[in-house]
Amino acid sequence: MDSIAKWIIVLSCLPIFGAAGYALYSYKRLNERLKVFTWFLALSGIIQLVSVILWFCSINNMPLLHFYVAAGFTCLIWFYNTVLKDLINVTILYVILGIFLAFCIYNILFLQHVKSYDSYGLTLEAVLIIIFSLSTMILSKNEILENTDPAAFRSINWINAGLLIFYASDMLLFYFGDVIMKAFPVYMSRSTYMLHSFFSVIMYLCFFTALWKSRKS
Amino acid sequence: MEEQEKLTFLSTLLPLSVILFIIVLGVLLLNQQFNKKLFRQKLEGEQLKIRHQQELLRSSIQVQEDERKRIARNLHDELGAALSMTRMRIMQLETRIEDPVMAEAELKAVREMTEVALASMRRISHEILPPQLEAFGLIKTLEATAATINNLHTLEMEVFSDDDFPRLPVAIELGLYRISMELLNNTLKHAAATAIAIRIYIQNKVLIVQYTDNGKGFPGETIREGLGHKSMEARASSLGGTVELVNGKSSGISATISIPL
Repeated sequence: MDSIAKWIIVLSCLPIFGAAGYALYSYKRLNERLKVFTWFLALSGIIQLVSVILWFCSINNMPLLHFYVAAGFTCLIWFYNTVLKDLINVTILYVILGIFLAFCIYNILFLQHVKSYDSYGLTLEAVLIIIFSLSTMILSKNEILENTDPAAFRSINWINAGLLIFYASDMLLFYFGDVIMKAFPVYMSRSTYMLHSFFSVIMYLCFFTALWKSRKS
Repeated sequence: MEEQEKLTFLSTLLPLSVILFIIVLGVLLLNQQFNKKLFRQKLEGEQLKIRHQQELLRSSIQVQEDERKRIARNLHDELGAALSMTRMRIMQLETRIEDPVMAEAELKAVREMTEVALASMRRISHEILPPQLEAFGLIKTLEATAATINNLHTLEMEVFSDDDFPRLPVAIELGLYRISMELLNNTLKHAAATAIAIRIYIQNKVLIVQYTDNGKGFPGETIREGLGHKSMEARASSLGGTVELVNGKSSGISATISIPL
């Protein structure tokens, strides 16, 4: 069970590298929104690579997670800024980003040490990304946008679907993490991480589909 | 024990409910923002459309007025002058009726003047509406125009279409003829072109007329500015179609008129 779980966690990295590699390969042919999203994928790929190396070397890779939460959210807000710039007062996005980054710093300094698991940051990030992805998905069904620019939201919907699936499961898993750890045996808590990896694979497959559809169109 | 279980249940689910409430509230507020902006954009779009239609209407009235002025000028300068001369000759004829030689000369002059007047009237009438358009259709009329232009030996004009190209409703043929003449006029006046090609075909129930010349093309960003372009757009729009004007890849202009049938 232990080795299977390890293998699943290691194999779940492959879609991240695949999506990031494909995004970088198609970078020139992507539109502005997906170019910005490529930065998020590139960041995820690099962080994942370094964290796996640290994991193999048995070095604590939790500081990377703190950095990834802040940097990844910045990239995603940048992405939503390019998607929603004509539909929202962009100051709202900057204010949300500022508050989130301030919370990340406060969290490291006073709540969760840089070498411990960043569950607060992840939960807050998940809540905010769920709000953005859900709102953008509802927005894409608006008849004005559907009539004027139906192709533009095709790729973005795949990205939003991936983000929504992953962060919703992420939020629930980390929210109930403590309960699971206390109430269930160890193998069950490992299963939650396997589930987490599974949703991560789903998310990156959605990203890959978004990039593929965009390149195809 | 039961109390403790209730407490754990509450302490686990209550914050989750708060988080879900925050998510729902966030989604609602964001969507309200989106809808406000979309509504404003839609309103601006409608206003822009109305302004554009008003501009088209103004330009089409202006074109009509210009056309009326041109016809009035032609009638006054050509037909009016010829009829005045004829009247003068007839008055002279009245005084010289006794002298058969002089009377014959005056009669000959009157006949010549009426021929000039008739020719003028025919030309003006052809310019307003060429008779062959109604009788033989758009393709034959454009081919006749091409033949007239080619006889001048300053440029080569060609019309391409299928041999079995069908006759179209009068309104469409007239509209396309006017647009083609406006384009032709522009080429002759400003383009310094040596070749013009008009291709007419039907594709997926859309009538397409492609007009190209090898002249100077439009300078800079002036493609959509002229009154001529607006009148063409108004004509195409009245037929439910569009006109797209662009500079050619190497030289000249390329105009595509699309009319759904």
